[in-house]
Amino acid sequence: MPRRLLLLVVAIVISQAWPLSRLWPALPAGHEASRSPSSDVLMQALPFPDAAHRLAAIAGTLPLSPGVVVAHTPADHLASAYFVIAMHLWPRQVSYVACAPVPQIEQFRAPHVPPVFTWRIDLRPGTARPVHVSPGVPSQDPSALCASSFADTDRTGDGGTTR
Amino acid sequence: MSGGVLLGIGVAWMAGVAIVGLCWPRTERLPLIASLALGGAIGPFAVGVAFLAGGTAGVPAARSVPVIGALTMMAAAWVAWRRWRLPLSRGPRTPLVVLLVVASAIVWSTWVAGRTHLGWDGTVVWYHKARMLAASDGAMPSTALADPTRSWTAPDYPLHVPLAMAWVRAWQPDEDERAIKWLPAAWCAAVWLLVAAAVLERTRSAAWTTAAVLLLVTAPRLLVGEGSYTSGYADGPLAGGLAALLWIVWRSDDDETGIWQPLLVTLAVVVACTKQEGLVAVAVAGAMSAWRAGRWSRGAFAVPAIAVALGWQAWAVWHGAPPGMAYEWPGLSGAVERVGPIAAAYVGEWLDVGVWGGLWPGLAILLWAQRKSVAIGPLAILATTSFFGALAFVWSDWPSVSMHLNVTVPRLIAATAPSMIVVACGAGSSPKRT
Repeated sequence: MPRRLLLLVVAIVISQAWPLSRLWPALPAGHEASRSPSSDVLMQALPFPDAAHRLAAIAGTLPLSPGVVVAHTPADHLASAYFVIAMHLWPRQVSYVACAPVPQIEQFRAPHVPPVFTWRIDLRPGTARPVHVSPGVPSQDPSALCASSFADTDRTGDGGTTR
Repeated sequence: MSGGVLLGIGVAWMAGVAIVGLCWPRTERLPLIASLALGGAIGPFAVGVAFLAGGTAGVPAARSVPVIGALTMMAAAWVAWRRWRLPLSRGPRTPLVVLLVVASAIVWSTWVAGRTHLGWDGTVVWYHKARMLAASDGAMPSTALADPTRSWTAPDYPLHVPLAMAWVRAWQPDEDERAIKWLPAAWCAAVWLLVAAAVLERTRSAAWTTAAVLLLVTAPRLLVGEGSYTSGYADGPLAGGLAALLWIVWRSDDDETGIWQPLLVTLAVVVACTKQEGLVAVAVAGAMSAWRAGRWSRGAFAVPAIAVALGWQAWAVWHGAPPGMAYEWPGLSGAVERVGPIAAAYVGEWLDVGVWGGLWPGLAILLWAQRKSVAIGPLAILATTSFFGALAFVWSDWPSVSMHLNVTVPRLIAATAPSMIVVACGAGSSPKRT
């Protein structure tokens, strides 16, 4: 038995050595500072580190009524960020509007009549304030949502901003 | 933060060990490694279901979680005492080399799990539902199923993984996604233990058992990335449950009295409630077992599992969940055109040594070399299940079928890897050939 065992082990180690050597550099080193590394990874297009903590703070400022996440990008660019935001803002209904190439309600091949939005979160990756929260929505129309600006903003201290 | 989570996982594992002790035939010796392996595959689902039942009955989590924990401890103690009194001879000890290799594998995969994330599905589908369940004291809120803005969470998908995650979440004082990763690490450990227990029981060979575990834990596809066993996807628990089910189907081949039926029913329910592919695998396992034995009662273990899985689907749809199946008939010519790319995707994945090493070519050679002793029943169940999995791509309604194949084929193959290793390595020096 020992000889056969040794042969088997050597054969397996030889056959697996190359893929394992490729695996090693792909592993992140050490521990993340955030308690929400999975959410953070899915929101890295913004970026928005420590997402769970910051979204919990945002949730505390919003009513439980439906709202909308407005991505000022093509839908796919920030879809993962939208999913994470919707997850952390449950039980609110959270719709998704993508502004490019043309403003539209996006529900990923499951069209529906969206609820009436009472708040909005704008996502603008690469800006100083990538996540912007606004209670109150002046229009339900995707084009109007994408066109509106938010110059009069105040920092909330939770990483996002509110009007 | 991890202390409570580890305690919750420990309770879950103990619940599984207790259930295995109850279901395992009283006339058969139950090795500790088999008890631990099957307990790890069954336990998180079992406590999750208990949590769901409590939440649905309106019991707050602050009461249901400690009650489930206490009942688990009492059940485990009673089952251990009950089995201890059985007049069964002590079998051979698990070889030291096997214990060392399995322990090393568990440390290795746990270390990897601690450095990786839940992944896309793991976060926005499974963990998302777990948060809802935990926030609702274990109950699944019907408003979440019918929420038109959350149809992307696949509301009608089976609840095994979200329930287990919700159970773990219930043990956290504050939310911590890092600590949830202990659960996939525990599922991983259960898969390694299962493969070791099954191959050791089938072959009595430390060499084959060591080789089987090493083959699995050195395949990068199973360790890192979307759908890997260390992620928060359902493919790891499905792989473990499927390997356990096939092992017990194989082991019960010569069972004329039905003594394995309780364990088969339990495992079939776990598999069918993990993923929709699991339901297909259970239906195939039941049908083929009945066909091979020549009587339907041999496949009866699949009936409760199919009823539970379809019952959940019906309940979810009744509460407004949109059907999550992404399939439609593309027409005859469209279907024929897809056969080539589907076959190419499977062959390309099996031969991708960059992520699998020599695992699949090695298993193919091993199966050929041991063709006279290989277990035809489990192999046929695996092949048929894989065939139906591949066939489903003909109906894919994804805008790009090649993208659907790229995303899904690696995971379908990963879910069958432990079962295939048990079948291939278990045929070596087998004292119970079929």
